Amino acid sequence: MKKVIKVSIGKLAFTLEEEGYLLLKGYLDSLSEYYGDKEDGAEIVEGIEERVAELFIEKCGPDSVVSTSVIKEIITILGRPETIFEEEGDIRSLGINKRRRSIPKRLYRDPDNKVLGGVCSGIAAFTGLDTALVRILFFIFFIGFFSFGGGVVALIIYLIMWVLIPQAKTVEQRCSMYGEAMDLSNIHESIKRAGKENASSIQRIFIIFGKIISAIIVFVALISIAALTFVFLGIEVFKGILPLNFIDYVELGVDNTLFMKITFLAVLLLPLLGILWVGLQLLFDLRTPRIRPGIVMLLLWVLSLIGFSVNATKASRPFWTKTQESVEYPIGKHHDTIFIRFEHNNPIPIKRVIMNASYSDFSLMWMDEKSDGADIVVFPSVRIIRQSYNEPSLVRIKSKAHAYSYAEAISKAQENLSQFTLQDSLLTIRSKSFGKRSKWDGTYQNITLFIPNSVEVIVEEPIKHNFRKRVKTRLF
Amino acid sequence: MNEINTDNIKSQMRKGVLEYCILSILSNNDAYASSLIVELKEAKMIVVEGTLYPLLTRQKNQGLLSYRWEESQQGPPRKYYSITDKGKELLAEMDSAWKEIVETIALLRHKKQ
Repeated sequence: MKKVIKVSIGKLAFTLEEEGYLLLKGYLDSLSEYYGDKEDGAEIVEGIEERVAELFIEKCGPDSVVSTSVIKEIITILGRPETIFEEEGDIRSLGINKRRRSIPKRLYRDPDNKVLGGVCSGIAAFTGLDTALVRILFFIFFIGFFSFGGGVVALIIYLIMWVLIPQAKTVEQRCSMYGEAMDLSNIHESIKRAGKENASSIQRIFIIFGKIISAIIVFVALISIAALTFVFLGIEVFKGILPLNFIDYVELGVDNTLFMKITFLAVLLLPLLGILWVGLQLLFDLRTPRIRPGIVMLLLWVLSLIGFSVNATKASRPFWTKTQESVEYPIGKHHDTIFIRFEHNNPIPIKRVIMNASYSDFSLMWMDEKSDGADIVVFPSVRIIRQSYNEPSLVRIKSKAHAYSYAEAISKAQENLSQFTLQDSLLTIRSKSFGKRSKWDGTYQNITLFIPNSVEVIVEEPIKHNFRKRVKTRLF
Repeated sequence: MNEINTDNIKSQMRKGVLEYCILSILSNNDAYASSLIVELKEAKMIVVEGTLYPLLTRQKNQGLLSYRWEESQQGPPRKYYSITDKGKELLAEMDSAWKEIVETIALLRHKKQ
C-alpha cells in the first residue's frame, strides 16, 4: 500500500505516489529557485511543467497513478537542474546544487536507525551528534542512575520521550529531522536510508541487543500482569499464603469502592500493559496503529490516577485524625503463669490462620468464611517485655483510633479498651472481625505485658504457645 | 580526462548553435515546444528536454519568436511558437555566419593536409 497525492500539473490532474511527488516537487522547486528571480522565470518552469504533464500522459495514460519510477525517468529526460544549466550555458549554474536550503529542525524519532524506539538516533539527528555517542551517553546516564538505585528514572525518561516524540514517517519529516530542505540528493538519501539494507555490523549488534531487551520486557510484563491478577483474584498460589481476596480487602475500610477498585486496577495494570505492548512492538517490529496505544494508555493512566487519588482521599476522610488511649492493669506477684485466651464467636478454623509467634511477640488472624464472603478476624498483637522482679508486673493495653474528628477518635479508642479482661492470671482477648457488612472501624490495639523473666506466658488451646520457642509464621 | 574534454568541446559547440537550430526549425513550420523537443533530440542537439524552455523564453523576450495558444491533443491549450520577422532576419545573418565558419574550417583543414 502506498500513499498517493493528487496534483494538478500543466492544468491537468494527476495522481502521484508520495515518494515520486516529493521528488517532483523538489525538482520543480529547485528549478523555480534558480529561474525565479529571472524575468519570466515562472514561464520557464510552467513550460517544463506542461512537458511533465505531456510525458505523464505519454507514459501512463490520463487516469492512472504515476509511479515513482516513472517520475524518476521523466526527471532524467527533462534533465536535472545542474544538467540543464550546463547545456543551456548559463554560468550561474556553478555551485547551484551545493546550496542546501535549511528548514526548521524538528525533533523526531528516527525509524530507520533505531534500536528501541529511535529516540537516541532522533536526538543525534537533531543535535548533529554521532548516533553511537548519544547512545553511549544515554547508557552511561542509565547505569549512572542505576548505581544510585534509580536507573528506572532514565528508563522512564526514555519511555516518556518515546511516547511524546513523534516518529518521522514521511520523507518531509525525515528531512526536517536533519533540518535540511528537500532536494533531490537528500530525498534520495532518505529513501535509501529507509531501505535499511546498509545496517552496519555495530548497528546489528545494537539491534540484537534491543531484541533481547524487548524479549525481557515482554517476559517481565507478562509475569507482573499474571502476578497482579493472582493477587487481585485472591488465588491461592500456595495453599493459604494469600488468604486475602485483595479486592475485598480494599473494601474493608471504605464505602463506594467499585470506582476506586477499577481505577486502582487501572493505575497498576495500565503501565504493565503499556510495557507489554512496547515489548511486543519491538520484538515483532509491529507498526504503531493510528490510535497511538502509547498515548491512549498514558492518558487513561493519568485519568485513573487522578480518579483514584480523588476517590481515595475522599474515602479516607473518616480516618483523618488519629489518637490513642491506653489503660494498665496490675498483675499480682503471686502468679507464676499467665494464660492468654483468644475468644471468637465461632471456633478457630483449621485452615487459613496466620500466626506469628516469637519469644516476645504474638499475633494472630484468620479468615472466617461465610456464605456472603469472608471476614477477616483479627486480634491485637501481644508483646512481652521481661523486666526485673522488683518492678511491678502489669498489662498495658493501647488503643489507637483514626476518625474524622478528634472527639470521635477518642471515644472510639476508649470503646475498644473494653475488648480485654484480666481476671487473676487469665487475660481474655476478644476478636474483632471485618468484612463487607462490618467495615474496619479505624482502630487497632496492642497489648504489652511487663513481667519478670520467671513468669510463664501460655496461649491457651487450641493455639498453644508458651513464648519459650519461636514460631515464625505458621499457616494451619 | 581526454574523453571528458571531447565531450565538453562538443557540448560547447552545440550550445553555440542551439538557438540557430530552434530558429531553423521554426522557419519551416510553426511548432509546439514538444515537437521542437522531438526534432532537437532526433538531431542530437539536446540531451535533456528541460534545456529548451529557458532558450524559448529568452528568444521570445528578444523578439525572435512569438507564440499563440492552440489546442493540443491532450486538452489544455499549449503555446504554439512561430518565428518573427526579426527572427527571420537574425536567421539569415546566422546562415551566412554558419556558412563562413564551415568554409573557414574546410579551408583550414585543407591547408593542413
